[in-house]
Amino acid sequence: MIRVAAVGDVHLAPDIRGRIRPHLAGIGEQADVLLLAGDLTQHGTVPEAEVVAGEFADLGIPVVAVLGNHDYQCDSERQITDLLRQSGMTVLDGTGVELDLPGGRLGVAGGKGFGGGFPHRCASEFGEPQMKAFVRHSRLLAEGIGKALRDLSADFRVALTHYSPVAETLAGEPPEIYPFLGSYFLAEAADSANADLCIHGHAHAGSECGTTPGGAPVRNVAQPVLKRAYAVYCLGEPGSQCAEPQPAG
Amino acid sequence: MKEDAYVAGQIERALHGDPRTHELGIRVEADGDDVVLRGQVASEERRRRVAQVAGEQAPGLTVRNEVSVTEVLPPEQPEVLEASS
Ligand SMILES: [Fe+2]
Ligand SMILES: [Fe+2]
Repeated sequence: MIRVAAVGDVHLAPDIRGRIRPHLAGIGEQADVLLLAGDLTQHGTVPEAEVVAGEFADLGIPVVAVLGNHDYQCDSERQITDLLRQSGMTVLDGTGVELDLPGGRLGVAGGKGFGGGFPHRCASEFGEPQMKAFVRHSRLLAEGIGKALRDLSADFRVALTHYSPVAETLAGEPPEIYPFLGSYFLAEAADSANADLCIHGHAHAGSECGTTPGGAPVRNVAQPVLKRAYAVYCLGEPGSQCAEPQPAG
Repeated sequence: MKEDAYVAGQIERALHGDPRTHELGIRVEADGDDVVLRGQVASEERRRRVAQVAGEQAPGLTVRNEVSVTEVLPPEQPEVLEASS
């Protein structure tokens, strides 16, 4: 069994340094790996990325992250990525990583992803160049993530994105903005690799649980959705999907 | 006087674009002289800044700040996922 901790949309900046940190003490007893689902910073600046690096430093378990749209706001995504990598995090951008953990070999592949919407209610690569560029960007990112997932040779595969692969975990957001919150290209990518779990963020007013058309569980771990420091999902043992949360014992 | 929808739209654009906020998740409703802000932010300071930026866009209007600060509770029991095929 592999225990995957995950949270997204922490939107860190110097004004809220230390907001999550107190809850991360002892995370190594709760989980084997921590996934961060983007929007790590509020404005996408390097000083904010330093706060992120400090918040998630020295946890004793691997930390794997993707960036979110907020992390792109100041065109510093390269510097942010470099800084987080130097701090010891793995930052995925259409790439994958394999980790030998006590419960088995875990493969995580992912990237930011993008919007476009969901079947019957989505944008398509047609018409104006701006429209084509928007949808092509989303499709190419998803295709890269799909390939990275299929290239993993691991016991379990997890797709980690910022944007959502399914509409189900957006429930709570206004339906009119779903096309800006995710794309079914991401679910298609995950299902092409028989991913065991899809983790995403971005939809702060969405819901935690969903499923891809191929049957993979999807979890929206945006911090405002979880209201917790992180959630933990166990892979590799039979159980019930999205059981009612129980108080920690 | 500007229509309510345009007032709300202008305030939402400011909350998205202003470097003091960059908050995308605040719903603004304008009704005559009243503006209501709803949503969640990560700190009391960010809650205050949202009202400040909104207020600058709405001179003479009354801004009611119903934005809340998201809690960070300790983690709960893990969820065990069904092994997929
Ligand atoms: Fe976010
Ligand atoms: Fe986001």
